[in-house]
Amino acid sequence: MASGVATARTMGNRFSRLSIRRESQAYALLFLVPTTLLFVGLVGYPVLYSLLLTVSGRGAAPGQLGAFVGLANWARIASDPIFSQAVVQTLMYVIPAAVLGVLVGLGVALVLNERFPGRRIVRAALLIPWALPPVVVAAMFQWFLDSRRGLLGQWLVNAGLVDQSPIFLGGVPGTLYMLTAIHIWKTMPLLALMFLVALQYLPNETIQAARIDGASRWRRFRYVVLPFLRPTIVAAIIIQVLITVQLFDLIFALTGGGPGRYSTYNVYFYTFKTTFEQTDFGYGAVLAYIVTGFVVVLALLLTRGRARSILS
Amino acid sequence: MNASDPRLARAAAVAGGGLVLAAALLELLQIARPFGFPFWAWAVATLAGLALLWQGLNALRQDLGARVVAWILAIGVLVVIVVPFGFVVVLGAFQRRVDLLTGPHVIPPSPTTVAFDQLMRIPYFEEGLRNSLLVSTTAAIVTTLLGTLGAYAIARLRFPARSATYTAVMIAYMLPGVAILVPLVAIFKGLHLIDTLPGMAIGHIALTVPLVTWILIGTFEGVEPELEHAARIDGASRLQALRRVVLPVTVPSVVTAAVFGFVLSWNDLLVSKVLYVGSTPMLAPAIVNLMDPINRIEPQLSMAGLIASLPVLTIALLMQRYLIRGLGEGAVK
Amino acid sequence: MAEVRLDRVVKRYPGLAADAVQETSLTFEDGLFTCILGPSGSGKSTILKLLAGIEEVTSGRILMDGADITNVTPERRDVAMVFQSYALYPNMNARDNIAFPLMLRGLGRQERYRQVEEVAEMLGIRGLLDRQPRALSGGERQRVALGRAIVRSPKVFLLDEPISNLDANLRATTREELKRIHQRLGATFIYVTHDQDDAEAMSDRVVLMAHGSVQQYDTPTAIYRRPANRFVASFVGRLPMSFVRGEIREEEGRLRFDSGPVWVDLAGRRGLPAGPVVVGVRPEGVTISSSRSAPMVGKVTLTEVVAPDLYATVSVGDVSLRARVPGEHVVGVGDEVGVTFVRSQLHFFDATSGERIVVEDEPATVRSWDVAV
Repeated sequence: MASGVATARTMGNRFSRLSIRRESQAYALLFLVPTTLLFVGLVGYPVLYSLLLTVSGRGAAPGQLGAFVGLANWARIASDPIFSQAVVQTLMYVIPAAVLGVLVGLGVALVLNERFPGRRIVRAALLIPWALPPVVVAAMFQWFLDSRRGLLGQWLVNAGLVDQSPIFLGGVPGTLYMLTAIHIWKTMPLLALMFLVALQYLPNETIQAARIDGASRWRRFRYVVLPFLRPTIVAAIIIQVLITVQLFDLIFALTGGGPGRYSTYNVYFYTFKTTFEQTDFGYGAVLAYIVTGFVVVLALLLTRGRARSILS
Repeated sequence: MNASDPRLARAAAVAGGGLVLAAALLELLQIARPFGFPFWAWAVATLAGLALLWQGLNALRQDLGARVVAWILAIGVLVVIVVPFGFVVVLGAFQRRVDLLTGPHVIPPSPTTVAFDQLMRIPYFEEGLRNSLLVSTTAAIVTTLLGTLGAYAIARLRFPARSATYTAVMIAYMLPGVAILVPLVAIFKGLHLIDTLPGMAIGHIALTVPLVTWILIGTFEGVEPELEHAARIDGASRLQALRRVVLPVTVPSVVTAAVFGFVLSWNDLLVSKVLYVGSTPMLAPAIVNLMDPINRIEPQLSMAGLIASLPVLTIALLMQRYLIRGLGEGAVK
Repeated sequence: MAEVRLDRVVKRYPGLAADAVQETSLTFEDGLFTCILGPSGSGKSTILKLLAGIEEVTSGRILMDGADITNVTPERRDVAMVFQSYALYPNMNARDNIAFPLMLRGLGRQERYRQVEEVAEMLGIRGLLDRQPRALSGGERQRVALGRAIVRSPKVFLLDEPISNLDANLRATTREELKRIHQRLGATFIYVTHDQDDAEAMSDRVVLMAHGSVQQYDTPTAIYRRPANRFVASFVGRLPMSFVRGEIREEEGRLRFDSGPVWVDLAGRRGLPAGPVVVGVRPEGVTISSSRSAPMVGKVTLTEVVAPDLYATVSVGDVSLRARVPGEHVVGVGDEVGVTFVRSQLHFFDATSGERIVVEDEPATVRSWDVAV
């Protein structure tokens, strides 16, 4: 077979004529320029600017840097009662969400791991809460939990459990717990799906071996399944904490921070309020940094293993 | 429970099943109510029934008990998930306001689509819907383009500051929106982009690029490097190799990443609200507006929720397999 | 066809202690089938990647027919490569896979496919051309990969363990075919493998590598008969060579190798220094006989059958020797037998460095580098 219409030296494009190393670098430049511009402009610069905001007083116009005030804004954190309340309430969101979310998610995954008719339908249904926009979930539960005409209240009355429809979204701290419950409703499916996928990787032979060894279902779970799922459980907890710390949409849409003045605040929401409704940008930036710092550290923990392998 | 005693097992299974059924019936028909039958007794009865059913059936046939109980529990999960959504969003959207005042109805007494027309006549909703469609689609497309190129470069090219770039992507991905919004608003104000569609689109692009890039880095790493090497040795420039070999292979994952980007943008509230002063309503803030008791008309709110859910729900159901795999890869790795 | 030369090439990966390829200078002769043989981690695949251009050299030069291609991108080198995993493009059928290089070179569809048919005919895969790679078996995929490489008549063929994933029978037939293809095309073949059967069956030259450096560069026969060091000696050969540490002494005008119960009268062998030495001997250099008149006596501890011969492991003192037992004789475990060395089959290695000690009456071993003509 002859071929050689073109000799090897004419193959490729302009980049191909560079040395191996330069060719790689040239493409990197080409491909990354737009993204880098975007990053630097819309992420890098804002982050640095925020840092400057944290040490500035009120500026001339919203968002402008004001006078240099040193660490005054940062010091406010220590004496701010709303902040401490927000922190406590953040924990009130996060801890039940993480514990219950993971437990229920694990349970649902185990249930869905069995083969039974209609399994696919249930698995598909799991996608619903996850896919729904948070505002829709908020609107949905606003009506569902309405004390006068809400469905849940009506059914509780009909079932004979209570005499009168309870007020779900009005009390303190009841409202916060309801928000947590709604949040769990929305996020549990994600965790369940994570576990379900992880379970697919559990080799069937291991379970069979345990069965042959005579282990009961509970023992099989405790000594085979659970250790296998440990990394996924840790990941799920971290992910749930990350999501819950940044909970915003539900709070904003359903309660606006109330009832009362701050009873459903978390730190993230407080940051939003301070920045955009009270236009205290300096202090808001400090709060933002605190939240961000926490989130980034946690997320780095989560992806540490993967990052190391890529950077090598 | 001893497997060697089938009569006992059968009895237990029947007893358990009976208990569960009885508890359910009693509740449904509210027979026990006049007798003051307390809730906890009902809960205990149901759980005990389930446990007996499990053990009994298991002893009879390997794992049958587990499967039946799993099925019952799965129905419970299904109910908890579907009921709020189904009733409120789906059914509620097609009822008349007056009907809803008399309480929730499982079967709408007079189904109607009037809510839809009324909803569409609200200017900020109709515009918000259109804007969101435009912005989210644009963001998804642009983000995928940028993200594909960037992710390929990070995953496969060798250049100085590669690890720094990767770290930057990772951190940007984890950054909560609040951290950059204020300076972002300041920048936009300077460029007169606040409350404009292009500005909103840019904001959403900034929101979604880290996520999409992150997903795609994983995708490109998963491609066998030898494919690209073989193409280049065959005489293809890197660009040709990408176009003819690498990208065709990664199409499903790229599409999935685009979908994730779209969903993230569509569901977003924070950026949409912050960049909206009056001229660029978006869907999420519009719905929040409709939730305000002053504005709230239940069927319209339900209809709005239904409309807002449709795109992401259909995508999610159509792409189940890919989405679950994408979720899983994030978790297992 | 082209001569490929490595000039003081080093490949170092950042973060790894040892160099993947230590300073190597080597010439792959024009038109020959050269095997790079070695265990995993020896650097053999790395050299192939450097030759293909998919890895960058740390220092040194690569020359093809005198032209410096050290930093030339892969698409502009005139090489073709067959990968161990075949690397067929999953989004194209077999025909388009093979036609791909031609398409890149601007050939029209008809002409491309005509050439593909020619190549497919030669490889016997004409019926498979419409199939997708995933619908092909391992052996079929390998041929398509081969076809893709052949179709553009490159100067150099690089093959990275292309048959190691096939089963044994298929491997044997494929070796024959590869040799035939090489003869037909006359191009320079550089073939990487860890399987010495490959080297034996197909190569004109063998580069034996370990730990990133070339141990020996010679014809297959020379590598077998005159291994340059202990590593080469123990790597090559179906059954391992037996090694005995001992001393060479002069006794009554004759040299004698001694290691306790094992000894050999070296008669008039010249060039052997007195002192510590390691003797290596292949099974065919160890003869079994009746114990009465043999110089050494040992006990059989193990027998292996590698048809048509029997191989017996014999303990002489605390030294284990492997011997080939010709077909007619039968020995069993526990038998006491006489052991004799065939003097001409002995290899001598320096006790410390492991290098071969060249005995005067044998031709010089070619070790590495420029086979200057």
